[in-house]
Amino acid sequence: MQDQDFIIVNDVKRYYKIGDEIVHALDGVSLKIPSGQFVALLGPSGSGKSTLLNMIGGLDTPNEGHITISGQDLSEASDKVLSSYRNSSVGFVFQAFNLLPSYTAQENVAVPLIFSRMGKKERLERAKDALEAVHMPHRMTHRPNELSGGERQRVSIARALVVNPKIIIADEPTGSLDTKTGNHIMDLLQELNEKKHITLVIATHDLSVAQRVQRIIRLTDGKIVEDYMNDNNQTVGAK
Amino acid sequence: MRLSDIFGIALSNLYKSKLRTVLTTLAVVIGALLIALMLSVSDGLKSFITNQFGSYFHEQSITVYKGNYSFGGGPQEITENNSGSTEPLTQEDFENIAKIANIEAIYFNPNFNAKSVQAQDSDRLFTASTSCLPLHEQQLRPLSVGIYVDYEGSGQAVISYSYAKVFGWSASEAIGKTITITIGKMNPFSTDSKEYTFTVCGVLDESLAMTSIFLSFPDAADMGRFYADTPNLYTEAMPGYILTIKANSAEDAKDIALDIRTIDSKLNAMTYDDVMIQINSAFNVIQIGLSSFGVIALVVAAIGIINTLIMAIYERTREIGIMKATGATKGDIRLLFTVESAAIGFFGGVIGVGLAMTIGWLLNVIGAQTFLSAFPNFHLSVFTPLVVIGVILLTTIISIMAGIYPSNRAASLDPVEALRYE
Repeated sequence: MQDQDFIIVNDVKRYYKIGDEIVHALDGVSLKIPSGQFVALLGPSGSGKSTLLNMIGGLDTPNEGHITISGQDLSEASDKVLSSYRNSSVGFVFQAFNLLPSYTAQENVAVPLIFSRMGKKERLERAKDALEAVHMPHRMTHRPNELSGGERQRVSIARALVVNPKIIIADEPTGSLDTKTGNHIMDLLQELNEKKHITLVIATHDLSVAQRVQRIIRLTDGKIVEDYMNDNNQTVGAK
Repeated sequence: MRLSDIFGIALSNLYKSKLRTVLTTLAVVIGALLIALMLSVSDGLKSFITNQFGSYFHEQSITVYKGNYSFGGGPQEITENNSGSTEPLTQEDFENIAKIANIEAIYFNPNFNAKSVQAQDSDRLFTASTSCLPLHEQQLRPLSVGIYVDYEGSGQAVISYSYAKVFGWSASEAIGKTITITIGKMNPFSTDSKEYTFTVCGVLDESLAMTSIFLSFPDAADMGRFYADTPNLYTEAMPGYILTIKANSAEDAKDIALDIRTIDSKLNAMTYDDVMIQINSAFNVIQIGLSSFGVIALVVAAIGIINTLIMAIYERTREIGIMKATGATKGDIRLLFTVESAAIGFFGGVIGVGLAMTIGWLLNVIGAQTFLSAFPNFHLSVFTPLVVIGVILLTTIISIMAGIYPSNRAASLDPVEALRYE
């Protein structure tokens, strides 16, 4: 069943002091995302989309306002609560992949399970399943420098997937990839959204990427300027 | 995080930067090596000295003398409490001491400078060093063969192995042989002398590094009286310079010593404990002095560890960010870095102590064949479990302390910035 109030962002402000100047990365943002939705935050760099993404992912907390996930307020949560949230409820996908260079694909995917206190054998078993889900079973023992960009991003998606998250946060997931590979990654994310009903929030500055999702939220200077359902998302990506 | 994962990741991180880990650990090794070796050598010396004193000093014994021994220095004023030198004990002193409870016996200490000693059928003369000890004190020195001197008897002598050797006898050959000691007078201008002949009844063990001839009290007292030209010396009326008291027990000895000091502030009483306390306090100073070199090395090592870990934070900033994004708490990151620094200290300590033990063993082996061959029971380097465990613990604790700042710094990294770090 869909939870309409799954993610609630309520009048969130986030500012940084750079010298004497205060920079408003987010300036009073409010929105709701129901569970299972595939959302794109669209905007140029500096518009605040990554900041909002990091807050939904529990990596950052607002200066003002509240972020609630499944009824749990993250705004003033302790390091322990936030860590446990990041560990069990969220998966991160980054533009730069952020894989550990000395670990194999399988070991990289298993990293979050280390912090869930899971035994090594079970961890690697679960990592293997996750790699299969992203169609990468044949690259398990390869290290990141032996993989192509697309393959690396699949490994990082598998790492996000391995904890069975409720949300996957992806910051410019296709930003380091060519168009064709980027499309495959978007196909994969779409597949996870549809098959596993994972809520997906991605940040992108690329309209063609954004058009493949259900809902587009456009940000400029830390404010939401547009928020609409993308009715033709099914047809656009079918190339 | 599971403990096994923390150790696994920490050790593999150290392994990944092998050269840096080895160099950082090397500083700890040098510190641990210096401290462990210095402690072991001073422990070796200490046990040698205490063993030697143990064989001269009985736990129930109290040595009493009057006045002060002066060891150079500037002029001292002679007052009621400071006689400036040792004084002979008086009959009054003896009577007061004899009244104290729990004294088993009081012994006089005949003291004289013999001119020479000569073995039977030989005209070679040797310097003579004599002592007169009650049986319980003699028994502290093990015999090679024979029996101890009867304290109340006459005409018997126990000789140290060194005398048997110069007389050209084996220990067993010496038994039943006679020796002659010649005594002169205390007055150096007197030409009077007297010969005393004794039958050897025992030979001390070779391991005792001493040169001595034990005589009975009647013989020694007679020789002492002749030497000093004082017929009633070593009696209650004229006790001489030193009295040896045997207490009923080692505990009583301490109380008796206290009582003696309260009779007269000039009276000094020394027990086994007093001697050991003096030796121990002297060695504590030596140990602290010697180990300070190692401590300095460890401080330098700690700075090296701090530097290494801060470098590691810069190198692994992104990795820390990834760990935090995937659920690591601040505590996990802190623990990871703490275990890394502890591991450097622990392994540095283990290797350092291991090397120190090897060097100590070599010193003992080489020493026994060369410069220490005269002391077969003396080990220059002695490793007690306290030193081994203590030094490893010390290096580990110092390393953990060195890791506190870098660990906290790593733990408090902002995950968003860490993930962006190039």
